[in-house]
Amino acid sequence: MISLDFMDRVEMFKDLTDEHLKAIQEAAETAEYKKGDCIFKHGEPAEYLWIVTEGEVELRCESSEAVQQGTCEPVTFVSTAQAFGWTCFVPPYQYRLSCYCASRHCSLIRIGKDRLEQLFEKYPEIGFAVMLYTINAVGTQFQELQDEIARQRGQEIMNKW
Amino acid sequence: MSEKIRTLLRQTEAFRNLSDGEIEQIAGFSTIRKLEKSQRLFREGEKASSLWVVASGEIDVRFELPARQSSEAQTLSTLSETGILGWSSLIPPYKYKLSAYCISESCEVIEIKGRELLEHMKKNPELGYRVLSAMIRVVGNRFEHLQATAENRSPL
Repeated sequence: MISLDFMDRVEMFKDLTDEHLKAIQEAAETAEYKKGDCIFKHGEPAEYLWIVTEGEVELRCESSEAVQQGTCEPVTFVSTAQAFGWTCFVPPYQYRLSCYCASRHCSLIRIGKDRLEQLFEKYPEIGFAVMLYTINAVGTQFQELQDEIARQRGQEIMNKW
Repeated sequence: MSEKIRTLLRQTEAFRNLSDGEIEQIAGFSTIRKLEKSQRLFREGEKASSLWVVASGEIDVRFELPARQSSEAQTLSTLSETGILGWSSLIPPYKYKLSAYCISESCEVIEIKGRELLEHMKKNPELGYRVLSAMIRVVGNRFEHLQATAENRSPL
């Protein structure tokens, strides 16, 4: 089982008490992958929140249209104690990127969205912490998308001057 | 005026699931501001201290270009009654990434102090969870819409 010390290092769970971390720990299940294994694919229903416990995973933008438009980072790496898959809380509740194990071995924990929502009902502090992290993450991505669209459209306007 | 704030907040998706008492608490640190046509609500790069809900009229969210007056061509989205803007007030580094302009004859907006809202949610995590979950749904839907618009848009 993942230690409380490790759970304490996960930014998403910052400021939570040992009782909260223990509840999350009990809801989590472990998953092991080797290099190149696909963990989930872009467009699949987002049913789990994931945390890397060992190794590194690669989040890959596989929508060629989005890459071409510059609205999706081609590759992002996620390493130990980082959480991903928070799109399970964001409409349309699908993974926006595909995920692969990028190191020789990847150890992850995953927590089912339904199980998490039960925890949020019981411990609203966990719900608030996870939602605060998620709004930061989705808000930042939204701002980056706006920036990219503004940059492209600004360029088009200036080219017409 | 405060009844108007309460009514509008109740209709806003982010606050729709709150009780009358909880709406009252948020209305306690909210005020109404009036704008005239073309008046700027905030400018990109400014410190984002408030979240805004459109009470009446229409607000354009625009990017700025150097040495050029703001125009419709710089609009990324237009918000009308109960539309919410100013997410940057809840997200580090708390700076507006775009500008907002009133584009109708006049506009009214509810100003909610971002820091006070965050503090209130921290003290009341159950309320904070419900408000943030609803806000995430709003941002998620807008993200999808903006991405689809970007992917389908033909060059100007």
